[in-house]
Amino acid sequence: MDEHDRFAEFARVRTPALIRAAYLLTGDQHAAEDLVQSALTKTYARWGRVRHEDPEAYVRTAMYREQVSWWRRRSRQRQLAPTWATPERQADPADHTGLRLAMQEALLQLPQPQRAVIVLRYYEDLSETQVAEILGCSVGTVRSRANRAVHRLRASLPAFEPLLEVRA
Amino acid sequence: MNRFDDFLRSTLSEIAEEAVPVNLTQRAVGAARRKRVTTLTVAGVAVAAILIGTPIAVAAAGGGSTPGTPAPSPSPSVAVPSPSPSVSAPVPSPSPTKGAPTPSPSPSKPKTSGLPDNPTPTPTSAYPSNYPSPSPSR
Repeated sequence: MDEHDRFAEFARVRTPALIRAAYLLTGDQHAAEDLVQSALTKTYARWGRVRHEDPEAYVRTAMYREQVSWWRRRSRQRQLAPTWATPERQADPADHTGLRLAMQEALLQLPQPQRAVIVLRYYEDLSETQVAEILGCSVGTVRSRANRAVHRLRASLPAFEPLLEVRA
Repeated sequence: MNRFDDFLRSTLSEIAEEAVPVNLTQRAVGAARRKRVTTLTVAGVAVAAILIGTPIAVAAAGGGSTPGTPAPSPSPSVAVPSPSPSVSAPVPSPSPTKGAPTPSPSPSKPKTSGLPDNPTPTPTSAYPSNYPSPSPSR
């Protein structure tokens, strides 16, 4: 198996999980595919070296950092980030689906650096140290971004707080 | 871990399941190869430009360092039938090396009156016509 085949096998195995994470970051299927493709392109270009280290961490780092860069460029250009699938119905406080939709909407409103921390901490289940390494920031920054993000999410769902307690 | 965190995790998982997995391997490999070709092409063009441009720049700089352009007739007024043509010959040797073909007689003298060390006072326009010139000044 040559290097190309090894990379192809790695990409085949990891792409689904990467696309899911990218979808959480970008909120759009096409943007997620572009993001993952960009990260895989960078990984392939350095595959000879990365393969012996940690290709999984490398491609994830490339993906998350590139997404933050994209967001900063779009913010400067004042372009709106794409949104997830529009909720088909209004959030109903008494409905789990409505609660989920409200949470979706709240997540979309998060700034990209905060959303990246939320995805890495709560979806990828990584530690603060690992998140800091991926995003290239300090642990303190990760912690503060996570706290601010959770605070914003909770503030966005004031009507649902009682439900959250009940759902336990 | 509180309930809000649990709810956040479950919501994120549900959202992530909406993503459609696609095979991006070929697209990534193709993009990497195209980028590599572009990089190599740009680097090759840059190297070629340096290799071609450097000698030209050096030659141009070397040609401009002479006291004057190597004019074929540095002393136009010297073109007189003097008995010593070799001395007043304008630019006898077009030396291929860089630098001016320095004429042997006093290169610092201005070329208009590039009269070499010719003892014969070859009359030029500066001399009056009635000057007794031993040599026929034409």
